[in-house]
Amino acid sequence: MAAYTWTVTNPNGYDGDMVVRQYSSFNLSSGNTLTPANRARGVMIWVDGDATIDGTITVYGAYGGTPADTSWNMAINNNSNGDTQTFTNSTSEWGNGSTDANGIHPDLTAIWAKLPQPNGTGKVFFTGSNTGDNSGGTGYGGGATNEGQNSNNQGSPYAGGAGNAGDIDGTNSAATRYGGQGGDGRGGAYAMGRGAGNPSGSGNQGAGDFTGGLFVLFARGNINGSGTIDCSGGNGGYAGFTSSEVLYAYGGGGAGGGRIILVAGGTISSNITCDVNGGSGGGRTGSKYLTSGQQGARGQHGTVTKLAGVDQ
Amino acid sequence: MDIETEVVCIPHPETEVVDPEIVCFTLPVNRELMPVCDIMEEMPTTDGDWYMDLLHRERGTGIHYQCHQESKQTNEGSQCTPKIRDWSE
Repeated sequence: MAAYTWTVTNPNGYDGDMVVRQYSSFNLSSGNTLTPANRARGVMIWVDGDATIDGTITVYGAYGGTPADTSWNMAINNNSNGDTQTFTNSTSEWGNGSTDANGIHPDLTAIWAKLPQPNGTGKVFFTGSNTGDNSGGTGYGGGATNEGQNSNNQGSPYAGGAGNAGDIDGTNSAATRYGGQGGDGRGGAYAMGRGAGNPSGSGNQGAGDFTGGLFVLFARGNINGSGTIDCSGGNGGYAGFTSSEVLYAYGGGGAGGGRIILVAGGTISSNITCDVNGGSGGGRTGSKYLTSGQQGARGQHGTVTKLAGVDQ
Repeated sequence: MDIETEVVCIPHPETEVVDPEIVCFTLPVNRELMPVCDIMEEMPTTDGDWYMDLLHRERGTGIHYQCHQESKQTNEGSQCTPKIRDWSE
């Protein structure tokens, strides 16, 4: 059992550069874990041979403010499997060349040159934040009673969205847009559960301090194993009793799930668990004047894409 | 911000007898901090009015009838979900 980490450059609280690595082969054994040492704007791994995942890889989202580009696309030749989307992998895509990819531009440019062709026809991969489950990118965070889902729950290409808090008077209950902090909860007579996010809001009661993240793995050979890739969102906060009779209680919203992309020249094991689920909504204690409902909404699920047997 | 509350006891507003039933319930000391539904147009002026609003909300009667019906259909009922109103607006 070992807990491994990837070093993150420019770590800054809930933010850090994307982790980009090239390996000749990759093997994470059962019982071992691997995660960025700090929040990062995604993890992208390129493996020249086979990749085996029997342990658990966890990638949570980062909050980098307003993204320079909210829609990232990257493509690979895949004519032999019938993919015919026309593409050009330019240096402006996938965060490459933008402030979102601060520090990794040289790495990506070098890796880009390894692709069979920088343009042509094939499969385009997207990441960004759309409403709805499995919408092609990361998921929106969940709303809460009287603070329903809106643009504040939007995530980013590398993070699911944050959740709102239960709202009784409109103060600080909204999440920070693009996967930032969840809405603030409160205690007392009006118990409001926190929204999950990067980090969760303050107040009553604890929610997940994370949203789903971005994980991308390209392997020239096979992607084997039966491990887990966890890019899930955190749960919304429970609206609990603190110190006085609770008159009203609304649970907090869960965070949106993340984005997983697995691409292999060979095969991809179906036994690898890819978790991009949004976090569940927070529950609530009993309250004097509301007898049912008022649970926070769950975060929306992110998206998993698997593409095996691509052109080489 | 915590809300200071108090228990108030009043004769049941629906009874018209010499020895009425006494009902006790909790309200914020500052009544303007009592959450209300969107459909409420004016702030109740007496504790009896507040009690009747709570009673109608629970029963889905009075002005709460329409949103009570909608909430049964949509499972949303957001306008029936109380929130503190800025009564100065």
